Amino acid sequence: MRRLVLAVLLLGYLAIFVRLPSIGRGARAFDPLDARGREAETAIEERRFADALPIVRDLAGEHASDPVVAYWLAEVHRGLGHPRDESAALEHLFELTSSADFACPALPEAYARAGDAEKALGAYERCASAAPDDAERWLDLGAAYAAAGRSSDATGAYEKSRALDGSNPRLPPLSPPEPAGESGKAPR
Amino acid sequence: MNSRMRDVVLRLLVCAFCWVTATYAFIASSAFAYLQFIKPRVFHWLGTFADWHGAAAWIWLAFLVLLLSPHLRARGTAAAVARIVCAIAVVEVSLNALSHVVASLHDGTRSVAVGVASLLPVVGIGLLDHIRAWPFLVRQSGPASEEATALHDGRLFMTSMATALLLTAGYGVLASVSLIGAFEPDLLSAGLALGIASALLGHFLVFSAVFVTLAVLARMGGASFSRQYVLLAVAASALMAGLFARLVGESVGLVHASAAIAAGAFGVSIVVAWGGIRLTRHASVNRTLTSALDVFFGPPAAEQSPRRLVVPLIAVLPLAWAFALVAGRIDWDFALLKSGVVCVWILTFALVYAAVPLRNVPTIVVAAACALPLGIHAIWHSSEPDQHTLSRYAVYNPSYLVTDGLLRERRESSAFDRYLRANTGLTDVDVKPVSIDLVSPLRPISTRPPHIFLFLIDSLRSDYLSPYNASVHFTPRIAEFAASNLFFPNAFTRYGGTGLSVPAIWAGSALAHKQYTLPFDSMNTLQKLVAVNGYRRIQTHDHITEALWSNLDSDTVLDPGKTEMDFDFCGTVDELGRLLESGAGRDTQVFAQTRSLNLHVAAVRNGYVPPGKSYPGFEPPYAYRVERIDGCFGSFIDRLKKLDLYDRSIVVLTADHGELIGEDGRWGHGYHMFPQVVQVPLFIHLPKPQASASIDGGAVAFSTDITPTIYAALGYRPDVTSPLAGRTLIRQDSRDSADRRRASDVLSASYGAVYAVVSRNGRRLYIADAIQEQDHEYERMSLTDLHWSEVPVVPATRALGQLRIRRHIDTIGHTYDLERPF
Repeated sequence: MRRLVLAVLLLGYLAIFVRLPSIGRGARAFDPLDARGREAETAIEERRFADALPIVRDLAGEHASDPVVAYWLAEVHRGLGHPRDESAALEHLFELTSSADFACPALPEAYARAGDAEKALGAYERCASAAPDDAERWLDLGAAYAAAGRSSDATGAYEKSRALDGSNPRLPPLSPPEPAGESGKAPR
Repeated sequence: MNSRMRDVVLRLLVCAFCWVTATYAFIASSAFAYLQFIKPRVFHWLGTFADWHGAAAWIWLAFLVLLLSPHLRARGTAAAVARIVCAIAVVEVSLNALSHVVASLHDGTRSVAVGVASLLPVVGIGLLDHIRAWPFLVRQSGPASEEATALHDGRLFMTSMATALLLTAGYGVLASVSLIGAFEPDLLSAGLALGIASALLGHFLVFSAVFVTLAVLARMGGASFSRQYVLLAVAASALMAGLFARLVGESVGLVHASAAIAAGAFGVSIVVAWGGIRLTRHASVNRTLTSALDVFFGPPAAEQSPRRLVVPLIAVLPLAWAFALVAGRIDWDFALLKSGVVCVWILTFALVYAAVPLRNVPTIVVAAACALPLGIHAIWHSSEPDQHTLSRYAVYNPSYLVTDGLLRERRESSAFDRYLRANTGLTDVDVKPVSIDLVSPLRPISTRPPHIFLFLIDSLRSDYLSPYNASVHFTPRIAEFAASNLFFPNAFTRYGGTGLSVPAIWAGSALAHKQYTLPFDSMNTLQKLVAVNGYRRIQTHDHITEALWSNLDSDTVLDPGKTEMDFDFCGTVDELGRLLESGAGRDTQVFAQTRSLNLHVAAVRNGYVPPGKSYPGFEPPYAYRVERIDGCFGSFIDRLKKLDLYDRSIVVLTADHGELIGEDGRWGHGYHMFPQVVQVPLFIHLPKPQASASIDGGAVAFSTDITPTIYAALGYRPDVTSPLAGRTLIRQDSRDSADRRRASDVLSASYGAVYAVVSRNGRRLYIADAIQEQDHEYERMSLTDLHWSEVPVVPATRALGQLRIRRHIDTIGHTYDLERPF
């Protein structure tokens, strides 16, 4: 009896103190370092997007919830000049990551390249909402509003960006203009 | 001194010399430790040890011969082993004397081989002891029945449980005492209770595992005492090797097969020597042992005596406190602290084991007591606030720090860690230099170039300078300099250690992860600029300059005759100022550079602060040195102005990397990529015609941007097509600015497989640590925010962070035509 108890306990303790392959909570289904992952990555790095497309499409079918695959698919479509497919892949990436860090500003830019200004503006708005503390996202949104002729919305977005990081030279000047010589700027 | 005592003393001296030599060799084999500590002689005593090793080895040989002399004259197997040990020792000492083997050790596998060879005499002496005591060993008998085995199990079980309780109590008291006066809002009553409960669980898990393993081994050995002993010795060797690898190897960046070989050799030598000494002692008094574990820890007590348990409890506290105290002064990445904890664990276990008699414990009690911690561990997932509380508690309870490290769930994708390790620290890979040209063809500029002064302060942290931190009031001259020049509040180093950071600054590019790719001339874009424009070079010669710059004979050397650890910023710039006053910059433009080591961890840890100086909220020895540097920097600028050189000069003040100054008990930099290590100060003064150059000071800037910026300040347009190259920080248009702010840039440690991705314009930092096999993410709210918060790493951040790091490494592989390990 005691032998059995000790054997079971030993297995239990081995599982927590010794790292065994494939033991571990939440292991990823797809490893980008496996053979097909390397093949896809190499083709993308070498800008052989047409070669990469079938591999990445296959991977996307098998591992629909993997953010790296979604990212690759967007890159491949961008490289091939397919902005609509690129935006679809980026929408999926945006959904998977729930973050503006990976799909923005590529997503609204892809919509813009596809000629869909309305969706581009909507995507800029979603990017800013997903990262409300990121000054760049508000700056992009301000520029998109300004391009759409929505000057009051643009001013609001610029103000949010300025409040987060006033040092960005892409910000339109305030009226009256900012005094020169603040942190990070050369004196004149 | 009787002969037994003499024998023990000699044996300890001989073994200690071998272990110290092996430790030195194993540490030297790590590129990180060699380049960080040994080569620049950060600790003088370490250099002295290597210098005198050849002579000391002869004395050691004499002791060894004296120790083995009784056996040398005898006959039989023991005598043969003694002669072989002596022969090996003579060969090793002779080779060491002839070729200065130990003194010339450097990073690479040769040092591992030397370390293993230096352990051979220890193993030989241990084997000799085992051969002599073998008849005693085979006379002993293991438990002959299940009842006898159960009695031994009972003793082991009681020992393990009591040890876990004693350690929890002892370290709990230590933690509570350490917390007195500390501002730890998370560690009030509830937080402290959570910490103690977690420590108790951790100790029970560790010592239940010890009990179960030893009980199973005892059964595997059966009634044969010698078989039990061999099994136990093998398991103990593996355990010691694992502890060496985790506690020492990981701390000094020992990786790959050499780490396993070093750890294995160390583990075997300790167990063979320890077992040999104990067996000899038991045999000499003809003790009766009840199990193989008794060889190491002694036979059972005749009867249970609670009073005997008081001794270990009293012994634990001062010993644990002493280890923590020593580690607090000279530790590196908790190696000493954790090793001390393991020593306290073993000692406590040994003392308790000796105090506990054989006794029967019902199987149900054993099963329940060992399964309960397993069950709790399996179902208890602490919340995010609790994890934060426990991470704070680990700072004060080193034993909990160790159990937490042993139990922490490792990151799931070890293929990525293997990829990082295989592509990092390419010590044994022949990397061919490439040509890095920021401008091609590079021709001299048509006007007289400005003087260039590049001041690197090793380990200078930006938050100890008032332009970065409003609470700093001891750097008025640097504040004045920042106010009237270019100041980059969002600057990072490309490499978290001098070994690659400084070469990357000179190259203006990220580099192959090798120290060093030689010859470096084709990659040294700063040297090319200086040469083509006919600058007079005035610089300190440290080990990196000597390795990577050519035509050193034509330099005017600052701090001649000093070792680099003695490079003092004040002395160096004063000497430079005197050279300029004597006309050094009158007819020829000057390029001057130095890397000062005033703030290196070795200097600060032994730090002096003059009476009357206080720096509330800062580390006083470090802050005092920063204040001194500030004054000397200001005086040098005054001198430039007085000599009418200031408006015709480029002055760069920066650091090769930051530093951990006791944050959560951590010191130094090494292969950490925490925010305090990767953030650096950066100030640039441009000559008058360039002073109004447009910049985006709020955008993220990197140390590799410095040389391209110097090129731009001289009027060149640096090529920025390579993804590894730095970019100029001046004359940026809005597209450059947007690119900088949107990019995700990869940084790496100089001495180990630890990488980081900086994103969101310097507000997010993802760290992939393939040495500890962990990852972290930090964020800060704004550029001026000094506080970085650790946030949970979400799967998407991990996956895409790893992708970015992999692309960076692949780009380096393509650039340097490296064959991929994968």
